[in-house]
Amino acid sequence: MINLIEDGMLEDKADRFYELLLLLYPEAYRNRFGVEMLYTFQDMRAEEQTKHGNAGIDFWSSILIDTVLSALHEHGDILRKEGMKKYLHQTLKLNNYNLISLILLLPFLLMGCIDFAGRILQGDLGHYNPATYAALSQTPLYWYPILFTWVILFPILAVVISLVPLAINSKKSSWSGITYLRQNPVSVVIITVGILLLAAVKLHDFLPCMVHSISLQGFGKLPTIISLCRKA
Amino acid sequence: MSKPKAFSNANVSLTPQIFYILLSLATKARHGYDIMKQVENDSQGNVKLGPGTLYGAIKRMLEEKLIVAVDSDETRRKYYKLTEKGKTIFSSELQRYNGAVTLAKKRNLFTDPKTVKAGLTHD
Repeated sequence: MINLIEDGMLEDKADRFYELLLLLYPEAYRNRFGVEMLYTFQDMRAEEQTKHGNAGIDFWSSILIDTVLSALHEHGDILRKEGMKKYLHQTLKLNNYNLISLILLLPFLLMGCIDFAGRILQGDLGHYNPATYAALSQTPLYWYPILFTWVILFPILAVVISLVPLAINSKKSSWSGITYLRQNPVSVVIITVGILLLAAVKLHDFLPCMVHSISLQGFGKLPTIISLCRKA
Repeated sequence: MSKPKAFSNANVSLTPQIFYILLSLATKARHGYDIMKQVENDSQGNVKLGPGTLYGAIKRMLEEKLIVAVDSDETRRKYYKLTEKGKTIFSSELQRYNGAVTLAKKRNLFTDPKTVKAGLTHD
């Protein structure tokens, strides 16, 4: 696999971040076009810096959207050509650790979707929907300590289980943890989602409030929005 | 029955991205960023390609043998140029556009977009 960092191509954090984004693409595609894409990104960023002094939110949001949409397209392309079974094992390199971690994250993800849908229905993303929570509190999922189990324990377990292959193989001289993560983007996604979900426990009103306020007012009044949402 | 390929013959319509990439490569071989800038200029800013969209299109065009990668002086940057098949498809697409434009002119269908917009607003 092409290692851009070892090749000395990555001069700064922005390039390193873009290389991380490239992990979203299927490995074969990344090996074929990754270096060229990084070159193109560097050219785009240099032009943006010449024009505006720095690469701003507009630049980064367009890069993010372009990367996510085209990566999804490439994965869909392989899925259509090779079928689900081959895609999961050869392209995504999904292993049993990934499957267990995904199952552990499901209850929280499901609850997050219900919470978000409730907020959309009431037209106020900054506060939870009382009707939704009244209904949910009647289910065993909301009883302590069950709530604690799937909201805190399961995401922690999911992250830890995703890291098990790293721990098992760390003593092998040829083993590189970074290589494992590069070749198993699902593990990276699970670890990221797990950490974000744990953060969401603390920030479950703050984050929807930020999304809602930024969508209405834009990024211009960001400091005001942050201070308002902290009180949400 | 297998699905027909997007570029299997010269009668298919090309997407705006593919069309403008072919247009940018019609005059000379270019590398990724050069293609991106040329497409933006040629389309007057209407078609903007990010690295992901650009290389997705390049991948499909390589698979369909519309373009090929060529060696360059620079060590890593790859240049792309049209193949004979690419030239044929691009040429027939231009002829198709030309036919449509000629017909539209004959039927007096060309109107100033500003006039049309104003008419719609007043109605």
